[in-house]
Amino acid sequence: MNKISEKILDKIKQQHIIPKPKWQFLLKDYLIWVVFIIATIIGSLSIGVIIHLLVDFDWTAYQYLDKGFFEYFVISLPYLWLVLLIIFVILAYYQFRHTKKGYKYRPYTIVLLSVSVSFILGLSLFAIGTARRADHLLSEAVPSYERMIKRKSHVWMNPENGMLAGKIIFVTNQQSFLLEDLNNKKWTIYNTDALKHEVIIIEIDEMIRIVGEQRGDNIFNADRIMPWQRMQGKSGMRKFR
Amino acid sequence: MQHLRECEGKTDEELVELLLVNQHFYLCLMRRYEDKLMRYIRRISDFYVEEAEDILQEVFLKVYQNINNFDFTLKFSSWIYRITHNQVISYHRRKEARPKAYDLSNEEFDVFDTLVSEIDLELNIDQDYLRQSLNKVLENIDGKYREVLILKYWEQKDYQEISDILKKPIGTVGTLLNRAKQKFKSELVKQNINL
Repeated sequence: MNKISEKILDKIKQQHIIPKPKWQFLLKDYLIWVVFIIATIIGSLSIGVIIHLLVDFDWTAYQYLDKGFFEYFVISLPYLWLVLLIIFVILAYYQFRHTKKGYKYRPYTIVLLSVSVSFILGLSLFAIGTARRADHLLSEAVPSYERMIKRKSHVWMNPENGMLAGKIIFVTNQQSFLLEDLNNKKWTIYNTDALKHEVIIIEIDEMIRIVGEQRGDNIFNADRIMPWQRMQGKSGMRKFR
Repeated sequence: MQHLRECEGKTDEELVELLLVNQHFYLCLMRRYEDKLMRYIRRISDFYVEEAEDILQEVFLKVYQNINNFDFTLKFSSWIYRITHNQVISYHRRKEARPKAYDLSNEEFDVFDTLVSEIDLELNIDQDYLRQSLNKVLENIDGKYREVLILKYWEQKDYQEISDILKKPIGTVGTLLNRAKQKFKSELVKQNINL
């Protein structure tokens, strides 16, 4: 036997075959780790932005729409970021699996680890405001981004369905005031019989949400006036007067 | 041939370090593995001897070209078996064929004794009959189970080595091996092979 060994050694000598340099393998290994780290960071950012969007959303507005909570919940989830999260978790898993020791871990261990790390990092990015800034940056830089995200402002900029939000810019009298909505359109609001949340004072610069009925191109009858920011632990009719 | 004498008593990993300086030490490594890998290729595939030799040549060239990628935390044996395993799969793909028959004809009786004792069957079998039956049984077992059986019982690899060769977690290797033994046992029953 042994003729194959001799043949190969001859071939190596005759054809001057040399081992590939170590740096090529190191570069490949580093690239795998770099892509893994980038995927984990983007996955974490996705979680951060998801938390930011969920916290910022108005989950109680379904009661003013012709929808149940479940339907409202399903149509309001930030699917763009959920899809990004899934893509980058899969990419991180794939990269980790291709590191030198990646095969030693079971797939669910890698996925669990990747999701846990992304969740902790994502929570930190949310806490330090990076997630909010990333969302804001994308919103300004990518026009189509806003169309793919469901926000509290989108829910409340819906006058034809009786929901409006904006800033009071002029108080005409006890019965009406002028409002600049979130798209900078000006409205005359009639609030004669409106229930007002106990924290609401009709004064300039107050940010409010209104439930009512559109009566003209820029006229709106208010039934209920609430502060823009939800009052933690304060909700229900007893808060209105 | 001076180098061949210098190789005596050296581990594979020490030879890898030496061959990075002097290519002649590669001959020692190849000689150590030539027969073993030839048998392994024939066991896990249905290739003719000539084809198996082609694969082995590709393996040796690949090992030499990629020697700088060898991870010294692994056994060299696991690494070269892994490359061989991959090369066999790649050769199969090129041929667009799946393995069917295997060369398990020599020195397999001890292996079979061990395997049979591990799946709680009593061995009471004529050796010629065993020889004929063995190929038939393994032929009908799914490739992933067959290979793990071959590595464990024919190549005498432990769980860690199998894990490194197949690039699967040790736990998965254990599960695969248990299932493989069950499949082996049920295939024996299915084929009405009396032990």
